[in-house]
Amino acid sequence: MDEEIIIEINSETGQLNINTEGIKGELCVDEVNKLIDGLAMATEWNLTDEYYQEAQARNTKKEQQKLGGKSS
Amino acid sequence: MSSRVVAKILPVIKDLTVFKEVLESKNFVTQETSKSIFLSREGISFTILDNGTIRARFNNQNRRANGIIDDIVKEYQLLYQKKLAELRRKLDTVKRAEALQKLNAQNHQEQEEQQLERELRKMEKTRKIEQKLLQDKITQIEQKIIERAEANGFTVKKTVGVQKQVIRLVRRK
Repeated sequence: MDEEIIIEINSETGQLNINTEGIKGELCVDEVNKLIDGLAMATEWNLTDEYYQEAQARNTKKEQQKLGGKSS
Repeated sequence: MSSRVVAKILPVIKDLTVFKEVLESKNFVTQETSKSIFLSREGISFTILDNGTIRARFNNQNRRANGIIDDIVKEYQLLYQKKLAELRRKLDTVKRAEALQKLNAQNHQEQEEQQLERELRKMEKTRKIEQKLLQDKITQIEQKIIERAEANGFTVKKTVGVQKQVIRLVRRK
């Protein structure tokens, strides 16, 4: 699946609505930040359940790695 | 005893009230009928007909009669001029006051209107400037987003609507 970012700009209010598709996990946040960093301020993030699930999985993995490292 | 009546046609006097006032101030006795006003004193009489004709009659033996009549006429004319001047002055004052009042009211209204127009124009101008600045900023940001997107491997497709602009970025995996 292609990665897609759709940016809608309201020329009256200057509001940007950004939708991402096909970019999983933290990458979507990174990709959006790369585009708007220093140009627009993100006021609201509505991330998909998939992002949180993946984030949780990543955190669990990291914690396991830390625990494993300590034990070794 | 003979008497001689001399009638003197007085100048046309249109304001009988003023004339009467002069005569009465000189102790002439007023006798008023439906057709005339008769004022008399010591053998001198003035008859003011309802058509405005004024006749003066005096006893020829009254040596002062001519002088009295002249004085009365002069006094009438002076009093009339004085009253006329007073009336004109009063009218002018009233007119001036009314005109001034209207002018003030109009000026006040115009001033208020002009102030509102100025404020409105100022606000409209400010709004236009703000809109223009926002548009310029949006254009610059769009351009930078597009540059960044292209630098990160996205292909860019831009659609411009009435109030909404859409930038579609696609990157193939």
